[in-house]
Amino acid sequence: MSETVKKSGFKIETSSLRAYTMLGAMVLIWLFFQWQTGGIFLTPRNLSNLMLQMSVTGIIAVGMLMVIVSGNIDLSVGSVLGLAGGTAAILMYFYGYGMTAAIVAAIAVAILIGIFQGFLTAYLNIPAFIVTLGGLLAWRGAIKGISNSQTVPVSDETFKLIGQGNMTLISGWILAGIAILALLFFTYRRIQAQKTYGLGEANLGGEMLRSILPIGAILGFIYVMNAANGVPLPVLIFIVVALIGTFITNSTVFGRYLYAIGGNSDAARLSGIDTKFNVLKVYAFLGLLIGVAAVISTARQASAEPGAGVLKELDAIAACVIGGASLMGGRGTIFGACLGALIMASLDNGMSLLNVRDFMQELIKGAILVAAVGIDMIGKKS
Amino acid sequence: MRLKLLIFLAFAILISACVQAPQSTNNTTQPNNAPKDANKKLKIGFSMATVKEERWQRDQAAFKAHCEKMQVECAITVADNNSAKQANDVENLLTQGIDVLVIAPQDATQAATLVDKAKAKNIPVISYDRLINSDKIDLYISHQVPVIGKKIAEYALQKVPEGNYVMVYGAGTDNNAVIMKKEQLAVLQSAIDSKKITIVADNFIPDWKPEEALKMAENALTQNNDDIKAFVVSNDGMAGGVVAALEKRGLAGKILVTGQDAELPALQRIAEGKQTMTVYKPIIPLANSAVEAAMKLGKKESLTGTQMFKNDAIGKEIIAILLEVTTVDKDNLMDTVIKDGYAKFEDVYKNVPADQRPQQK
Repeated sequence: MSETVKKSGFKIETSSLRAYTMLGAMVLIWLFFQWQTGGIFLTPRNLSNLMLQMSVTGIIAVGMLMVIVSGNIDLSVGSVLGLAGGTAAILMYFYGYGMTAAIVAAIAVAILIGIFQGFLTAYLNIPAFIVTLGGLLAWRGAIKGISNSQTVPVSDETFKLIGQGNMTLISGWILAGIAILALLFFTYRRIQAQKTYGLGEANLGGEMLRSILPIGAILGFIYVMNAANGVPLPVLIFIVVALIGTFITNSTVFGRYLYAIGGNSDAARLSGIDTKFNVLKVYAFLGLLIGVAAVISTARQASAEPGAGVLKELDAIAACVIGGASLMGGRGTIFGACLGALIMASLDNGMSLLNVRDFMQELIKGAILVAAVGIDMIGKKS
Repeated sequence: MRLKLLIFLAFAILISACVQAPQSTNNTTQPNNAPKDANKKLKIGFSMATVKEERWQRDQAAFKAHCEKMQVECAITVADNNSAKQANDVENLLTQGIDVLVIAPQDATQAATLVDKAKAKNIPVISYDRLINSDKIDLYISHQVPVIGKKIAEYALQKVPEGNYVMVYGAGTDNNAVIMKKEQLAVLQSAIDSKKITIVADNFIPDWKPEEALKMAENALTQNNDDIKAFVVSNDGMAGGVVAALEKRGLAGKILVTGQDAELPALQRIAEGKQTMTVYKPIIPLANSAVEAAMKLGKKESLTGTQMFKNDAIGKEIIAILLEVTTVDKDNLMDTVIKDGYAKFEDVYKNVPADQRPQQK
């Protein structure tokens, strides 16, 4: 069971505590940039850009979080992204395949690599670090080989739309409506469950308060996105992926098994959990997400370059860690990982608007990453 | 126990035999400072920083082809944008016994150490396309990088004499990017001073990454509410990222975008009108001249067609061979890259409807 911390009447799980602290940090960062850029940072257009710029990393971070929670790691993410994206572009440009075939191929390549690496890690007991480090090198070599190290352009307009298009304003509001209804439904179910399982009457006032914030956030989000011409499609895909990830980690047996395996893999195995198969599955799932991210990234740039995705794995890992994941396994939330990705994208975006020199940006990002997690660790009781 | 000892001794004898063998059969390699006989093939080592961009692919292919044509041996290594790897590559080439070293450096300053290593073995060094910050190089051969920077900026200024400019420079570690920035700013300076143009955003893009150029363009457009008249981009890869950002806003073709390298995707964008210009640097003459200069240096002959070039970073003048470049835009696509056979008509105009393509001569 996850430990909880009582904070003024609300129960917050400690694994989410870091995430909420980071939420506070993010608000500070946003306010800082808003002030420094003279009010441009929080405009709908820039916020829309920000969400767009974080979506690829965010999608990968969702999968990476699950891998890290299970006590493993994947360093080959960037190279697989380059290979999958390149596969899609090459199929369309040189072989005349349509968009659907290309997308399926890209995702298939990524899933197959995920299964392969998962198999090596889980069944052959090769440390995940080594398997995926080898993958980082090998798959990068592969994309350079099949593309002859050339950038492959993408001219299919529909394909490009995946990366460059927006939802219509109406569908944005419909989406908000569905989300709010779902939220209320789940809240209702939770209240019912508490009664059914004899956990006492639910604090109706507390439940209402708990729902208001997310509902407000949903409405605010759609309002801002629509003010900037609609929710960008990559952002929509990211949100869907994040919701699926949250559902898996919180509400499925597979998800809970991941936490068990990461927390204590021997205990998990002895309890009857098929640790090997579940690790294989989580790598395959990460592969699926990398494929999706590759399609978005290629569509957004309207081309596949051999260097696509370099160092992306580190972005994803940093996002997970900022959000509260432990690299030892067993703790971390999807919400935290998404927040971590958003924080890093905010830093990139803000510093870009401020025209901060390239080397300075790298310095600052590194410092903030360590500071953010460090301050949090110091504050924790060991 | 006895068996193990026997096996161990057997191995020991076998290994010592192997160590002896090469010395007896190998009498064809000579130490580097022995006089070369005319029949022995010259060996040129070419250490490249990257072959990631299309142009470097051409350099690699042309260099190899010309070596074969001139009947000299060449060993080519690629460092994948990693200076530590390039250091290893150069050491390996020197160990292999090359006669001349040609380097396209990943890092202009770090490569100076590599030059020292080669000079310690009395091996001539040619700095290829990118300038190494060392006064010990024997030759710098390039496409007049300052001229390229100048032409890009002059083209932009001529087409867009007023308005907001965004400067997208290459990698801060690449001397070429630094030189181009200097030249571009020199051309634009008087317009900047007279407030005709304003640079609203400028930055070096790490490793010339198109994805980072895309984000920079997106953010610059947001910050200035799309009121930008020109993106002065220092290469085609990054220009691709900038054009993608413009396409999302429906602005592709309405804002000037420059580039360099005449890569096929860029030529396609120019044909479609999404990118405005690029710089065509005939690669084959560059690689050929490098091979021929290397041969002359290897045979201790004197070079021809050289001029003095000032390396501002170290404040010294060096010997250089500088080749001509051409700006390419929609109007002269046919007369330059296609006429020269550098790119095929069908490839360049692939995305342009047949009735809108120019007449093929």
